[in-house]
Amino acid sequence: MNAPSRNRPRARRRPRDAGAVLACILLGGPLPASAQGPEPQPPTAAGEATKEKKAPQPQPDLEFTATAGFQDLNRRGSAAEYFRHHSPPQGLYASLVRLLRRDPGGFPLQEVWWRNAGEADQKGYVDLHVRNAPSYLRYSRETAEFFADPGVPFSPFSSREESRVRLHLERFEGKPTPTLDVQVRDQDVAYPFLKRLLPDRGINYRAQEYSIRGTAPVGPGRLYLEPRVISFDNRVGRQQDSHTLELNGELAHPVGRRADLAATFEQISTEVGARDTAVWTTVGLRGVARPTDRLVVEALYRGQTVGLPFTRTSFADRTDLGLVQATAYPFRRGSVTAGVFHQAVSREDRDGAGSTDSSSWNGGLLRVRCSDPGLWSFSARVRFQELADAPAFPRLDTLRAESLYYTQDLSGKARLDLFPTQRLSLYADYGHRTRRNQERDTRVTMNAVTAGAVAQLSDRLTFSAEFSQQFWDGSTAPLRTGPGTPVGAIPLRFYFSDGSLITSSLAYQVDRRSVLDLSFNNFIASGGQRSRDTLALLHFRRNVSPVFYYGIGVQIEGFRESRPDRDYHALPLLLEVGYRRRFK
Amino acid sequence: MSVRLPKRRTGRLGALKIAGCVGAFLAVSVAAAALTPQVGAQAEKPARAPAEKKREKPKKERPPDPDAPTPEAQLVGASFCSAPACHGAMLKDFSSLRHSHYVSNPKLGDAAGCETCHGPASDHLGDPEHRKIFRFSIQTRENARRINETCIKCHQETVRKPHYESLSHTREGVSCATCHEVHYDLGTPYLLRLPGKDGPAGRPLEERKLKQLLAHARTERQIDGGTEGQPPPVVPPAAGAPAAPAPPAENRPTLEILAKTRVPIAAWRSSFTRDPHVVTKDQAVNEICGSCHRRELSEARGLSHHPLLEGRMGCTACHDPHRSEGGRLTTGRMLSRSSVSETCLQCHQQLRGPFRFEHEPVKSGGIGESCMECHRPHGSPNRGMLVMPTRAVCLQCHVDIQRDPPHQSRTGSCWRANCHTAVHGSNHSREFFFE
Repeated sequence: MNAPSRNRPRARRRPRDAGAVLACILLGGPLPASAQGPEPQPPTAAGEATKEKKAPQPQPDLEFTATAGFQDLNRRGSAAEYFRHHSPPQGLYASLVRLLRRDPGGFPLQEVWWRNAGEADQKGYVDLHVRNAPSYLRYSRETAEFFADPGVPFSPFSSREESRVRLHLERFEGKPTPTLDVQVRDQDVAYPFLKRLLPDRGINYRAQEYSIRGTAPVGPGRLYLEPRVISFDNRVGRQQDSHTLELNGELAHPVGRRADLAATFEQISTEVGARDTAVWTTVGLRGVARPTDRLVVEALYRGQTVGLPFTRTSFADRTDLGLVQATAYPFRRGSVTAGVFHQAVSREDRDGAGSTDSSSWNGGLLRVRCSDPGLWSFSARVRFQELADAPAFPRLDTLRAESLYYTQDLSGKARLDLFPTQRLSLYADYGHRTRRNQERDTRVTMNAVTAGAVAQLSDRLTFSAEFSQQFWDGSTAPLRTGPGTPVGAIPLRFYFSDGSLITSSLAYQVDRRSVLDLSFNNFIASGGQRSRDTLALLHFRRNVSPVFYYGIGVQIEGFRESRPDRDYHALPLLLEVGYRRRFK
Repeated sequence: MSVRLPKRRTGRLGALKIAGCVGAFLAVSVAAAALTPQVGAQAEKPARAPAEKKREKPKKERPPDPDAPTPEAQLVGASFCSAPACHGAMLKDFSSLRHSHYVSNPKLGDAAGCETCHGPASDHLGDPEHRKIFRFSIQTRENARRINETCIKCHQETVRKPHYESLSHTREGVSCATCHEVHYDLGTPYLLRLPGKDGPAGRPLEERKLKQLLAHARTERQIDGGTEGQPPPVVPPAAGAPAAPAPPAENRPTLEILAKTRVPIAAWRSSFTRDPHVVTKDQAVNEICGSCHRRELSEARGLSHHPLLEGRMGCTACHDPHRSEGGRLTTGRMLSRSSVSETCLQCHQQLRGPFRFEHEPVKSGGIGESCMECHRPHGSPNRGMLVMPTRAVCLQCHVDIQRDPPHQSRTGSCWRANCHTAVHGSNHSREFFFE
């Protein structure tokens, strides 16, 4: 779509000081003149107008934002339940500190951003971009405290701390160029008490990950290479440290203008203590072709070999997957996708006789989509697969030798969107999945229905409501065979849990400076798990001036679980005051 | 009692058969595609020399694509686009984005500016319907590919071309522009479109942005659907011309046009209050994903769930919306790593092992779904994000345990009775009694 290259004036390359560029990336300072390249022009001055004098940009150079908050949780009841997913700040806290330096053109160059500084749950990052290239250095860190297992109510908090560094180097040439990413990830995780692992000391480890990802154009295609090293340092329990080396590569290459090929390779090697090295090797070939404007054909092969030299239990040591599917677009607003696949699985039975058995998945998929933009859209998909020659489990400690694997898997999903008026949108989503083990006559079924509406009641008022219900069911016949009711067995009606959720929200733009958010959520779990979680939230925010703003929020929270009997109630009150200033 | 099974092995032969079948099918498809003349690509290629045209076989005439420049289209320069009566208001906003900095780079020559992405605009200037140019606001299948191919010219590092054709998103007509806004500075991470940005959740955009989009969307609606009156009159690009009058209120774009069927997300308890000016990256990602993926969002509000809505993590921790690999390859879960287990192990490294005694489904390598045999990663009505509560999750496979006398006297879940505590794998116990 670009102009013929012979008509373009050849851009004159200017020498660049690579060291200075790298230093500037690392230090975040301004680029030296020799490294900044030609002065960029705004779009209005492109082409033959590039020689025109650049209009002064009134954008600010520095933007500072600070928000202080105060929150009183007003919690009563189980702390373990209340904090099981997060630890909101309490008392006076620094909600946000942000310093942003913009280019005179207006886009961000360097940024320091820190939410909930010093609190249990906090996030922060430092972004250092350069001006004339999409290169950057990013450092981010986040910490979190929570209750990993509310079943141990008086245990200390669990914690997760994570730091990441990413250095991305890339040049802008107006054409594909090589890129290099150096990434470091450091995780420090501690779950002091898990009921499952008592009396041991829970989970406590540090995992460090180093990776280098390089990509480079290869002809019209592109090569991706990414070696990664993961070091796992276990601090408690009996688990040993491990060292993992991952090698990933992919070559993507077009074939003419209507086909693309990609070849992938992945090898994961893990050393555990002084044992041998376990190796997962995967090779893949993917091709996509568009024989006509209304047909897309895709084929995929993926083969994986697994070597677990010291593992004494069974595992699949080789799998080969082949997939062929085609997508047709018979009319402008619709598409049909159909495909078949075959996956051969070779399994080393180290639990039993040490033999190798073979099984295979065979299946197909169908997807239909059609729409009339602005009025409605509909999509549906079905996927079915069946396991042939399911492996048996001839173990002494199980009563039956039939396969433990599901042998049939059927899943489907349908979604309908309606737009009766310009300000009203309705949607309904249905999902289904059935998994069946024919040899053991067991079945698990899930049905999920979601329906909702969004209405723009006026220019200032938006309302949304949604109902979602998930039903779980299954065949319990095998559990009921035999005389009497098994002693100690849970009643069969408690084998499945259903979940329902009602969500609604109201958003109101009070005036040009003030907004109001109101939302309500009610979740109910029934069946094997019986609990109720209610949340109502009201939040008001106002920009007093371009410099000052404030927000006031109140939540009404309630949670109750029947088995075991645990609950909490909370009425968090939140006040935030913000200051935002732009400097030249 | 050990039953010895006959040794069967498909091995290399089976793999070769599968690879051969796939390869043969692929070769035929690629050959067919290579031999098929490109119909919609003339506009993207420079005009061919007359001698080259003569070699082409005569083919059936197809109507020209109204949303693509003709092969004869010429570059006109961004100064035409920025006329006040045309796209001046938009370009004013666009000029503050990093993209504008790059597309105005002199290295692009005459194509610098809007035409870097939108193609030569000479036809567009003379077209009474204002078409004949690549428009990124139309969500049709053809245009989705066109948009993606335009973006991928620079973003090959993020989007691998053979993958996006396989993405469920692509089949649904979702393009880069569906999630990313490249013209207006919304101040969001990764240029994400964000329902509720600069306002409460549910209000798509602040008033100024709304007006800008309104004018744009009105034009698009008239062109695309043809249901709202006649195409707008031709406005020649004249410097100093007055700005177009604001469209009437009844033409306010629908949520579908503004937010591409996006549904606002009701607020949820979080450690990080939702500041409309400075949303966190995770908040932005979750809102853009959750606005379409409603069932998954509902699950994230269940009894146990990954802390997405609490602000502690984002959908992209597990998913890469630009890749089609991962999990059940046939459905394309767009996982960030090559398999379900590798995706989970990113954060749950303590389960990596490998163990001397592996629980087979965890690293089954193809027969099962590894972690998802027992867990629902988005959320569940059961503790521990389990598919079924307590011991029922084990009995979904081990049905005979229910009637096994030694097990009948046990109560509670299989792992909390201080028995099978190392269900993910053990180095010391075949029965997973301890690590």
